[in-house]
Amino acid sequence: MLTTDVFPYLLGLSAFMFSLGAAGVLIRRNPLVVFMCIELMLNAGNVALVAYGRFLNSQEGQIFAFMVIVVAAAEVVVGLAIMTTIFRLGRKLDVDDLSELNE
Amino acid sequence: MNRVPWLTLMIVLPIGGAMLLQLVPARMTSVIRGVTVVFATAVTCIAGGLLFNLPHMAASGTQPLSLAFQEQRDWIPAISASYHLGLDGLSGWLVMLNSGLFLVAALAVSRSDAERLRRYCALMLVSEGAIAGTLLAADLLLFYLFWEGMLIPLYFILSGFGGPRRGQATLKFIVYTIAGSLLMLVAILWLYFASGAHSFDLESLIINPPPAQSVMVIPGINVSTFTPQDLVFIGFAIAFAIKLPLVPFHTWLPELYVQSPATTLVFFAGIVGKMGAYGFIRYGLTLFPSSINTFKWLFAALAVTGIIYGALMALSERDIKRILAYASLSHLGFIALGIFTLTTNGISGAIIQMVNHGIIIAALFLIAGYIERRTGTRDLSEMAGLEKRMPWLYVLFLVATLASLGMPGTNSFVGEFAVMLGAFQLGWPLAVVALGGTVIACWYMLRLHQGLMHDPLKPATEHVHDIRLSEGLVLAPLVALIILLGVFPKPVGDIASPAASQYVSLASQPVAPPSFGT
Amino acid sequence: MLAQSAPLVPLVTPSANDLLDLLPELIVGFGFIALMLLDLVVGRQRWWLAVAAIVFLAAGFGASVWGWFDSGNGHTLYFGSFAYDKFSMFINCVLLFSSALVILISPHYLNRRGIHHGEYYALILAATLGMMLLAGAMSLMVIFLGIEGLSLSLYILSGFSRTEERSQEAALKYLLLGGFASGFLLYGMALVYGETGHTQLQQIGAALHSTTQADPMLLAGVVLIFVGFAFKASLVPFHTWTPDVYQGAPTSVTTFMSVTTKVAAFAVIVRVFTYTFVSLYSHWEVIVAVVAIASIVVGNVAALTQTHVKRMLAYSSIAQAGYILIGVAVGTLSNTSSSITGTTGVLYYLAAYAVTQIGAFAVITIMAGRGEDLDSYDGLRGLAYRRPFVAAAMGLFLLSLGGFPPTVGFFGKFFVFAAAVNANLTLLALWGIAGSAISVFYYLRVALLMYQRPKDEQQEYPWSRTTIAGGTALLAAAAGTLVFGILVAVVFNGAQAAQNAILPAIASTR
Repeated sequence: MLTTDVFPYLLGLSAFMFSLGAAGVLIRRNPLVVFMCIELMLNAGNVALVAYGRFLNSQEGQIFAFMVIVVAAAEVVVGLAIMTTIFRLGRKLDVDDLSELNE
Repeated sequence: MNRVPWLTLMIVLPIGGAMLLQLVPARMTSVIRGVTVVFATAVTCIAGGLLFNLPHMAASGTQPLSLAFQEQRDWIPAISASYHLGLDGLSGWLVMLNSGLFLVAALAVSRSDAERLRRYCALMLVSEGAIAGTLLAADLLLFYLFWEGMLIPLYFILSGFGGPRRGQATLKFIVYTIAGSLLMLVAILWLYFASGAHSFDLESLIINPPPAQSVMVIPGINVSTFTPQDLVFIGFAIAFAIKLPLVPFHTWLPELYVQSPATTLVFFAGIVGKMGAYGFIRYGLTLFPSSINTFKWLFAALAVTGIIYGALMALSERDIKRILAYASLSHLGFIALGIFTLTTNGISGAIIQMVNHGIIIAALFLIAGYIERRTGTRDLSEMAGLEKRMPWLYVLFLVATLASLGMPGTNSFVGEFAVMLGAFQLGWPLAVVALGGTVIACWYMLRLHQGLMHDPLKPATEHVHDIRLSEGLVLAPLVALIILLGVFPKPVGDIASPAASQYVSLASQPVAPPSFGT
Repeated sequence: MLAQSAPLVPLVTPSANDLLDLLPELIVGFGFIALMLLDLVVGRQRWWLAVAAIVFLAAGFGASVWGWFDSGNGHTLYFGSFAYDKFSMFINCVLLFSSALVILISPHYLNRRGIHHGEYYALILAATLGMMLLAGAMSLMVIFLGIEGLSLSLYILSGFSRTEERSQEAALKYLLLGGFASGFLLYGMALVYGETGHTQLQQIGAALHSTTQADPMLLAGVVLIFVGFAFKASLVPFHTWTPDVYQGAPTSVTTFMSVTTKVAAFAVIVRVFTYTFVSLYSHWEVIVAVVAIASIVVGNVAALTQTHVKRMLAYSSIAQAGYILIGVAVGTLSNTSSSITGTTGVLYYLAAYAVTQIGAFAVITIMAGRGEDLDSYDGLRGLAYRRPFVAAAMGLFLLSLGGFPPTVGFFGKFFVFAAAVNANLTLLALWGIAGSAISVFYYLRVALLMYQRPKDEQQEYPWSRTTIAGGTALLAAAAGTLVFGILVAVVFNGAQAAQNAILPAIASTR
């Protein structure tokens, strides 16, 4: 059983995860890693939602988190499919190489 | 009172004509010209009929502007914008000028670019409709709609037809005017919200002006600036000053006039150049009586500067089109001066002069176009002695030249005289300086005329033929009008003076004393 | 703030009426599934799918029109998580009309590009469904679902040209930046939920209304949510993906997303910011105004130097978003009793933008050559000599985008700027005006190019012929641009009614 004492740590954890994810998106060059960082950001949101839900004694946070999990899974499916297609086209996966459009 | 929506017809007819032209195959040039002339003639007949009937229309006493032939319908009821048209002595003459000049342009349109003749004629008709709409609108939103909508056909005409550097010149003009218009849009919006009427209707805005607001003080340094009304007036004034153009805003004018063909200039210099002056009288004087009294010295000074500057530039140029462009600038200064005297004399002089200048400048630019087409040059120093080769043109040009410098017996004498009277009422130094402008005008116009016509022939003018009959028939009515309106100025004055005194009384209506202090 | 615990929502089953009121969304959702199944049946006769998609969209449109009259003053469905009001119906109508036009121009274009696959139509409908969810969303969860629904479909659509690197690159860029934005959005939602204790907009609004000072965590949440929305609406500084994705994606997809995404994003921005976070107005006003000005300046200046119409339209759409955002920045402020408010301006602008932008992109789509897009400025030169009517329509759309009367684009700007003046934010209107003056350069430049003589008279142009469907779409867009620029009252009254009936979080504000 969670006590309210844990709550600040949970929020801190989610903030840390979010910052880590955001920093990763900005710094890392490999689309797969960038994608993982995005998932990390979404999960940071999930942790915050669940923690708040527990703290506020409302179920909405947890329901929301479930929806996010589903959506994130769908996003992974689409994202990996796109990356696979690019890989098939014979391109090295590096976001800095995505410059075909910056003529 | 008949129920025919004549004013709407004057807007819709030319635009409908332009659409009709799209159905005519592009290679049938004579049909295209015929259709254009027919539509332009029809509009001219309507304008003439309305103008003839205008003095007999009983003005209703309750409305501040005695507009005749009014048409009013709901347009956007939720914001009280209405489709409201009306005609008075000011817009009546300008609409007449508009349709007349477009008719002349339609007759003078050159056959050389047969491939694009249809597009040119269609654009010309659309411009005519839009300009008529600008002149007839009595609702600020409707006015703005036509005012800016007019730029679309003009842009395609100016940038599509003319000299090699027309693109640059047109872009400059368009960007200048749009910047001005957009400022005016914000000013219109401010008026709409500040006035108690919450209406775009010109008359209800005149009846319910925004409450007088105190002078704004810059915090900290305690410097008094202007009232909000003054700033809003500036928004309008910049738009009109650019279109007129008044001197610091004139830089688009010379190059654009040089790059444009004579047919375009007939209506562009003839009527589009008058829209700024029209705006000042119709909207500046009626909506901002106190502001215009604050600023009248500034604008009168700018107008006089324009007169002298234009005249001096015309004197220093050798390109005949450029000389005419600067001469035009100088004459527009007279019109502006007349307006900012805020006297009945000055304003009726300005109205008369708008019509006269439209006729004269159209004739002069047509003549310059004819000469350029024959000699292949616009350089004054390369031409001389045309009198021997073109006796007919010589006569017509002489009349136009004399009219341009304000010779008694020609039409512009009457107008300039009235403007001078007004200028003396405002302050004699202005009038004296303006008079100096007319002296220089004599100089540069005679220099132009003598340089072109007298002296022995030069290589460029050696094998030149006189104007053809068709060209003479285009010029002749303009020249006839110059003399006719010079000898019988009464009809113009009879219609212009009541309108002028009405605008003067609106501009000098007792204004609530501004409450000073923060 | 953290102390109170919210009462649990009592367990009640939703009524059948709720389901009926959801009819437009249900029709489109059903259409999405039906199209996927239909794809298995039609074989190579894929144009049947287009017909079916249009039928579903038309039915959805009809249901929305019916909902417009039926909804009255509006009410919420499913315990306050979805709105049934004129506002969402107005947005639905704009969305469905735009989607139908996109479907009209698509088959021919996809055939020429060799990417005519059946799932295209299903995905368009799925994205439309996501946007409709956004238009009616009254709960943070529904907003998140709507945004993700439209984004996932659009990620796939951007990469629809599977063998083309540019298209794949666009898809990946959109996916990564879109996902990044979703992360911000979700975290912002979590913070707002945590600070107010609710996910439903009405309850959030009520909770905010009763607090006196704003908590920094709450404000952080509000800002993060705005960042998420700003990505979708491509506002500066979250716009960087826009030109690349617009250029790389197949043009019919660009047409679709440049119009509908913005409409949906602004619908949700208005509902969340103007009406839910209304009591925090003084906090977010400045941010929104600065983003609006930045979008106007950056979009217009960048558009000046472009040499491809797709990229130019992409940058100009950033500027257009900036103008619309002025209407949001105005909020519910109004100094006078005038009916011109920020939200009316936004709604009118959205309708105007939809019909104009779809037309401009439709011209590029229709002209597309075999396998390439032909949207360079040089490629457009002389279009008026070969295709006078297409060129005239394009000219009309460009003039409307530039805000020239008498087109619908002028009145879009007019109402937004009027709302700003009405709220004493004249300075904001002046920024918009400066932007409009700049935009005249590049719109007129393209318009004039079409009317210049082609460089080489004899040269064969690979321009596609105009199909009946494409011509119809073009005609509809052109007619809308011109007719609604003259009969302004029709759309304006609609926008006003939609604004009056929008479901506010709290009964009466200000």
